[in-house]
Amino acid sequence: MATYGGRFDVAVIGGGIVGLYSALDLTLRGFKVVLLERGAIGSGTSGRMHGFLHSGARYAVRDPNAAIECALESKIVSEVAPHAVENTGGYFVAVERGDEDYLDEFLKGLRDTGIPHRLVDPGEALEEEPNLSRSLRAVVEVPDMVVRAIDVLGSIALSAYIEGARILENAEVVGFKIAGGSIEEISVRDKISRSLRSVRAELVVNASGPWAGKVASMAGADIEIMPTAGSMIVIPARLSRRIINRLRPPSDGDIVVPYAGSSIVGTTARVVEDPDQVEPDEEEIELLLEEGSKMLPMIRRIGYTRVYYSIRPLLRAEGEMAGREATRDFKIYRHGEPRNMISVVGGKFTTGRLVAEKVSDEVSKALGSSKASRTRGYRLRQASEEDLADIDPQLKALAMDMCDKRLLDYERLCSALYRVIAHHISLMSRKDLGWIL
Amino acid sequence: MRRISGEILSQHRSEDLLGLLKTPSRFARCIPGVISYENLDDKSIRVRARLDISDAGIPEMSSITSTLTITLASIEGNMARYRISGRAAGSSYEADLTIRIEPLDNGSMVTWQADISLGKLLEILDRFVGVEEIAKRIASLAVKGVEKCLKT
Repeated sequence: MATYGGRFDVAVIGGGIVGLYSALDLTLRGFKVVLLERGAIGSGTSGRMHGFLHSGARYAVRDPNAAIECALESKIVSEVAPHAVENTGGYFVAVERGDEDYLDEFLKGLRDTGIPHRLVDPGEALEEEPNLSRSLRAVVEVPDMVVRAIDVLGSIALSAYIEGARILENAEVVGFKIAGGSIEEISVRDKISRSLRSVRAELVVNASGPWAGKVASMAGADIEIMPTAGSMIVIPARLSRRIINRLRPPSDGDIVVPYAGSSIVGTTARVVEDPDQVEPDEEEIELLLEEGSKMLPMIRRIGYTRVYYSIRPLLRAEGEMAGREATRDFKIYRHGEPRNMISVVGGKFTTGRLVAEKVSDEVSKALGSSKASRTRGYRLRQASEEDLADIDPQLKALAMDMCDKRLLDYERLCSALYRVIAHHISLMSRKDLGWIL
Repeated sequence: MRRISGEILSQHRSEDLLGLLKTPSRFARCIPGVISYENLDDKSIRVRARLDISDAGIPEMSSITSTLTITLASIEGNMARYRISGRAAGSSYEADLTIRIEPLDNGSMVTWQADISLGKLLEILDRFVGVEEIAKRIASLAVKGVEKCLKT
């Protein structure tokens, strides 16, 4: 095992999909990488998504490039993390008169972007999904899928660790020591030992999502971000086999994702001042119940058990933008000062791997490497005996206990194990850094 | 407080347009994006509408739902004044809308002016997405909706 007391090539800030995949990508390119996450892996935006692995259909009309990328990336995710993906398929349903006005435009968008689809007879759709509204007017089937975010994030963290990255949870960046226009040292609050630590790296990747503006400002850089909260309500019953989308231009309350034994109804857009201070909004909850029950009337009857939020960033930044924008919703910034920091903001969970690939290309270029990304075909490690055998005997024993397909609660236990794995590799990373004995 | 304004040519007669503006519920029925409305009294309605925010760059969302109250404050001669208050994206807004209709040989000229007051969060949002542009687009769509309504 290498020693990690010295300087890293890259320090990644943020343990969401982009930060983790950047850590894995850069490690596979041969860089010595540390990832710093202020809370738990996936505790920011990525672990609070709705579980929707986009086929691209949702973007086919308004953003064809994003649609094509979603189509490619969702296929990649299902191939590299098959243990975390449920191939449910999806329906777009017209349930009100105005919805049908969008049908022709939607079908054209799907044809133009090459997203497989099928016009389904409403009667057939009702046989397949009996909880759908009886007011069905038109139905289009698309290859949407459901993804278990924590399982994917845990798998990426595990893979990155096995490949040599060090992944630290509860390690909050609180400042930077800057000298000669570059970050010389990162100040980190170790929430476990309640002490202040320092990390040194040639290059810093700021992948902290809606918090990227705060992190950048600590280094004297400017990324102005407007956090917007999207609310989701959890219905304690799985009301459909497929993901149900409302057939209309993307709006609030138009998706219902079957997630294990629940249904997730989302989402909304509410401007918030501070991503750490989001309060429930009764009007939004009522809107989600109303819109969701237009597609699946049982939603109103059953009601919801809880509400949760995911924070997305709206962007505006000064300075030069680096790299290609894979979609309109993410940006990579190569800061003028500090010179050795790259920030990335935005993106979707579905395209997180691709965003990280672009970030890693920028980092490689900055560090003088021409090695290409390997994550596209890299099968992520799982919470399995085999993948955990070389890391730690306790983890291996846990995997044997918890991820046992003969157990009633196999799926839930296995998902929980990914959290345990992330916590465990964080502890091991702390040891490697000499933060604990 | 900010003022935005615009003018749009209508092929309809000024008295037809003014007739529509006298009754908020008739007016509301014509505005694209209105999901539902309820009459509060003969001059006020509460409307739930979907506002087009596709320029905001939120890929998951090209429109958001807003609840607003529209009150006819006055209608005199060729001019109607409305008071609008509502909430969108978690923040409040208010507007005083004045619509003036001038008869032309082959229709009418609709001139509108809105004094808008945005809540704190929408003011911040405005730096990112151009709330003024969104308001102008909504106004233009509303007049087109009225045109379509009068045709049928």
